[in-house]
Amino acid sequence: MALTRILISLAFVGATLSALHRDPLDDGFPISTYPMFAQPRTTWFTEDYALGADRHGVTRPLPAATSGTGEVLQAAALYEDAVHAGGRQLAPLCAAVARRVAADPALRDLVAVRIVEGTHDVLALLAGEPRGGAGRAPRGAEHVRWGCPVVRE
Amino acid sequence: MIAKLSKWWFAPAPAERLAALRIAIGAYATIYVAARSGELIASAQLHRGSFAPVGVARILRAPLPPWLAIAIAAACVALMLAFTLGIAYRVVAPVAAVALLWTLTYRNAWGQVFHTEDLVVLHVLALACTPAADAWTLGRTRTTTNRGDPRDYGWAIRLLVALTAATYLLAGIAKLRLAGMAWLDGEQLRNQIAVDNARELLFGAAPSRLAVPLLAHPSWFTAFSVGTLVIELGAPLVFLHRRLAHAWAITAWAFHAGVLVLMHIVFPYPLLGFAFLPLFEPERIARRVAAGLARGMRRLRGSV
Repeated sequence: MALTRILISLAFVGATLSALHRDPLDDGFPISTYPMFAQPRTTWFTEDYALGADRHGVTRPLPAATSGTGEVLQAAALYEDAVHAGGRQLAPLCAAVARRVAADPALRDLVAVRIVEGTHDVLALLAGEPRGGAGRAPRGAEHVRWGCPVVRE
Repeated sequence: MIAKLSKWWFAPAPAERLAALRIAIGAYATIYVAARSGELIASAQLHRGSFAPVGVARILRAPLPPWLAIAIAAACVALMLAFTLGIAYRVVAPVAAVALLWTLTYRNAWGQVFHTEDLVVLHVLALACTPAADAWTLGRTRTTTNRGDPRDYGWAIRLLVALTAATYLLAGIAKLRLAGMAWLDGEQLRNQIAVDNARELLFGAAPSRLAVPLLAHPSWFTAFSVGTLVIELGAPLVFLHRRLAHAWAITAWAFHAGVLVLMHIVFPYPLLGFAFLPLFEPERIARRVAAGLARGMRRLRGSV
């Protein structure tokens, strides 16, 4: 019995620490290398995300939930993956986002969705943000990767 | 040396302590999966091109049909409830643990690994391999409860502590492997916090009110970086002394509270204290809560 318990203990602790033998960026679940907050970062940041445009062409970032997940990091991964895959993945994603925008009364002023790749100086971006005003700060360079209309019935 | 180590690892502990951990950690996992059902349903329906399997989900070449992924998640909640109550534990616990492993691994298979979920899965898997239902089990009376030798339980609690400590240690080592000692100067942490808040902004959410003004004071982040590494690399110290373990748990909790305030990232398992519960004596807390409830019930009956 004691031997079984020792083996169970060694198996769990050994499996968890086996992450040390992997590349730190080769993350897994639930045996993780825990690379979060560990990677060197500069203040320049490139991210793929979605903007909503009103009929005057003024854009603002869309909430993560319009991507299909409420998790910001997962939403970012979805857009990044779609941008890398190109039109065959961007087109259905953009259409799905537009459907969710159309269904959200808080976004009723928006007439189009643009999936963009934006590069920002994060310190400047955050410094320009008025308190409590999500998405009103002047943003950096943004390149539209896909666009689609918001269709309301 | 081996004999000493073995004696320490198998030091006795009451069956109720391990049972209290089963109930607390099992209840957390049950509620967590149930509360995440909306997210689980949404992720089950994401575009198949975004499927990036990790861990056990690597056995799949394509996503499951959404109805099947959702059905497994629903079964996971029911199984974890039985796990928590200790019903048919020897059979149910391993099945429930595998269901939790699958459900949360599948949720993590869409391009983003959530480090907030690793430890609870490891704890539940470990608990499933231990006699954690020898006390405080639904359907068993005091006389029929199958309590063994106190040495049967201490090792399981130490295993849970070791898993908690190992995950923090790995997080500390990852920082040194990826960034080296440069991580300590605070600039990378400051940039990371700025990037994280900027990402919030780009996804329609408000950034942290505290983080934005703090970014103008880089020296604070040197202190935060040193503190973070001390906590993470110092995790194995929990085995040295009970008070040291308690002090570490409190500082690690404060670290997660800081992450919440500065980055809006919620690590619910440690923030609610469950990750650190094996370092304490949860059966005493449970008894106090039960005694308080009993007193309240008596007062209520007396006033009626």
